[in-house]
Amino acid sequence: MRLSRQALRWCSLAPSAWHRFLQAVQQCAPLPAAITAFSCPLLHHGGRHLSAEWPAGSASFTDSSQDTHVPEPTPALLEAVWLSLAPEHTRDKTGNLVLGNLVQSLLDMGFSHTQRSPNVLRMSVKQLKDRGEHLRQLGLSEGHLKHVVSRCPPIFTLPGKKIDATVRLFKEKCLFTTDQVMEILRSCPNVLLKEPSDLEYKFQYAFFRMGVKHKDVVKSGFFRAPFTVIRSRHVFLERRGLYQTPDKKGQTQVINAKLKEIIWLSDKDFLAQLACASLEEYDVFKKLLAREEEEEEEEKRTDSEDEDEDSEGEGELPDHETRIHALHLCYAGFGSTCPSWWRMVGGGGYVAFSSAPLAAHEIAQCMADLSLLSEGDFMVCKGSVAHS
Amino acid sequence: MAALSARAARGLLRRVPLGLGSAPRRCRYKEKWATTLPRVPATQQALQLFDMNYGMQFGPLWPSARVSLLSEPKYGALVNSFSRVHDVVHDLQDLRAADFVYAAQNGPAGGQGPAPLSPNIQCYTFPKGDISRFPPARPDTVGILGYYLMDAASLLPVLALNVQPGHLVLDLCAAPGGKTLALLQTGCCRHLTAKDISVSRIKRLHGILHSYLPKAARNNVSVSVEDGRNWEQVERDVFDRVLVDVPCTTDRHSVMEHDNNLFTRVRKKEREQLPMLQMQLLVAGILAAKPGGEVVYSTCTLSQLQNEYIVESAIKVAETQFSIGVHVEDLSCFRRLFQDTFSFYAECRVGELVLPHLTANFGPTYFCKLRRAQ
Repeated sequence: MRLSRQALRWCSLAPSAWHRFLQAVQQCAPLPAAITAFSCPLLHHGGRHLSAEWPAGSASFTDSSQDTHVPEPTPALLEAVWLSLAPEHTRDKTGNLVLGNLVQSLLDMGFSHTQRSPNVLRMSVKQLKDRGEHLRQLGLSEGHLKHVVSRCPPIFTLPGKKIDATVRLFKEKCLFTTDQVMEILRSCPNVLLKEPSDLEYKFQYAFFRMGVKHKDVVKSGFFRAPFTVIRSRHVFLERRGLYQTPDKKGQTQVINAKLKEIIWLSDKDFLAQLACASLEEYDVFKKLLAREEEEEEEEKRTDSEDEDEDSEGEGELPDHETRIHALHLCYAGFGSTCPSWWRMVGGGGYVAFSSAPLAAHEIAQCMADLSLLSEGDFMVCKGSVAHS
Repeated sequence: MAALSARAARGLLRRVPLGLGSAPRRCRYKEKWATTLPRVPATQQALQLFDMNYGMQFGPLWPSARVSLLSEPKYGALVNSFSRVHDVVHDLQDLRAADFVYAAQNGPAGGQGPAPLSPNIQCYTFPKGDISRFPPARPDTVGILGYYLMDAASLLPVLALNVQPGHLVLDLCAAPGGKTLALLQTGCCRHLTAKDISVSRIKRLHGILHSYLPKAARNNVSVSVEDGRNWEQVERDVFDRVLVDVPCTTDRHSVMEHDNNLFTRVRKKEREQLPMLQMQLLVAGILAAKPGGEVVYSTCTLSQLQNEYIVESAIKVAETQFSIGVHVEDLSCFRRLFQDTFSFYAECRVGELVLPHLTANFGPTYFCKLRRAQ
């Protein structure tokens, strides 16, 4: 550990000081034979001047006067290099082997993907460690973590708040279980790079518009697929009469295709097996749908401008609509981590909470209006619940 | 402990009138009239009925027609020969549209004998698969519009009528006036009589005549509000050509628009009485035609009950009640002639049917030609 502190001090040295650093390293830690040919691509970045080839006993450097393009070796880099050279030193003060493996992964990825995520190397050791711990707590154990990092290197450089916000969105707004959230992060780590509002909209499309249940959303790798493809295929099937949004009882008059098939079949197979249509039809349809969406967006924009001007008239919402803002729908299914008294509703019921004191009949009206339930389908819980 | 935001959920459901495809915004119910979401909107009611009937009638062809009905329709531009035609045509050609009537008559299928089409009709459309739109027509220096945007398939009944110079023509159920305008484009009508039962729709017809025809050209047109069913009052044995474009369930309108939708609960009786109304109008048209005259029956629905059955019943009634022989004219050449523009259904018992298809989203249009025996 003394050496690592020394390494940190040397972080501010010019690259030409590598030379001294490496010599110091060699003195402290005998190099295993396997590492003699270690070559750090980073150091080739920008200039092909410094080669960290460490044949035992010597370090050779070319003229370092042209090294202006080589990035400063950061503390993280130094630490990482150090850790790779001396496996027996991978334990830090707390003896956490996970960190070592984590950094090993980082090395495998970080070094070879430097071009893509140079930010990684600007983080401090502490940040790296904390992030690793954070991700581990989210349920990404070592093997999974490595997998995730390989598919989404920027995961380490995201602000911790972003990751938390996304996880919170999945748990609280979308009502995925912890296991499901982990599975999503494992199979679709790209969700961490998306805006939470986009993710929410995408989920709501699947849940409300397509009537897909949580477990199917998770199993199908839904969050990996581009939204335009999902929507155009779904609407194509729907307009052909081959897909129906389930009614409030969850029933349909046609058997809906599985989400997995809708998303992942090739265009050819999708058209042949699910849609029974020609490619020309589908191509024209995609164009028509794109234009429809564009024009709806524009209408919405002009409408919201008009509504602002109206005091009364066509755009006005009836009173109880505004109260829907205060009404939150929660889906209480089996196995969800909810307070015990929710379970009175039973598996698969809706529980309505209101942060404004609504009378029972008003809640009933709101729910009926949403056409999600008939009036007998739910229990009204007296009193308001003020949770964030 | 908020979960699936009700606001957003409602927003998503709102975009979709309960189970329908994400229809354009104009398809939503009018909020100012409804205080709650209708249980089953008229458009969905219509769609369910169509699924039942047409699913059986058309089998595997129905999904393609269905998705087309629920998507944006395609339009043709009927050239107004009373405007500056040369400029209008030039503008339309610049948009890369082509006159489908000209193309049909001069294409490979047109060479097989003279196709009996009404002359002087020019209608520009974009090629199959092209979803471009026409800009709205602009008035020229005298205030006449250069072209009329309409469903190109609804020109086919007018073309089938084969109006010749000097003919007396009757247009029953003329309003709102697209086919009437097309008839006048032929320049062959010695006199055109246009009738409709609805005052408001006749007003629209007048509006169209004003926008498209110079005053002089309107002299040989008489427009009246009348119930064409009345066989007692119809002028018998007068007209060379009769166009009977009956009111029907207007399939495309019924699945897309809530306004004026025939499938609302209050209009159930009206809907059930439609076939009788259609048959009566067709018989009136046959009575009005002179011996040897031709009658074209047309609708904009896919339903056999409103198409072939009506033609067959009207022929029977004409024969049994009025001793008038009526012969069905074969229009199967139309299918070959216009196959590059429209998608036809090949299995009609009598008459021809244009099926909506995404690459050629015209129709639905049914037409059948009858000739009254001498």
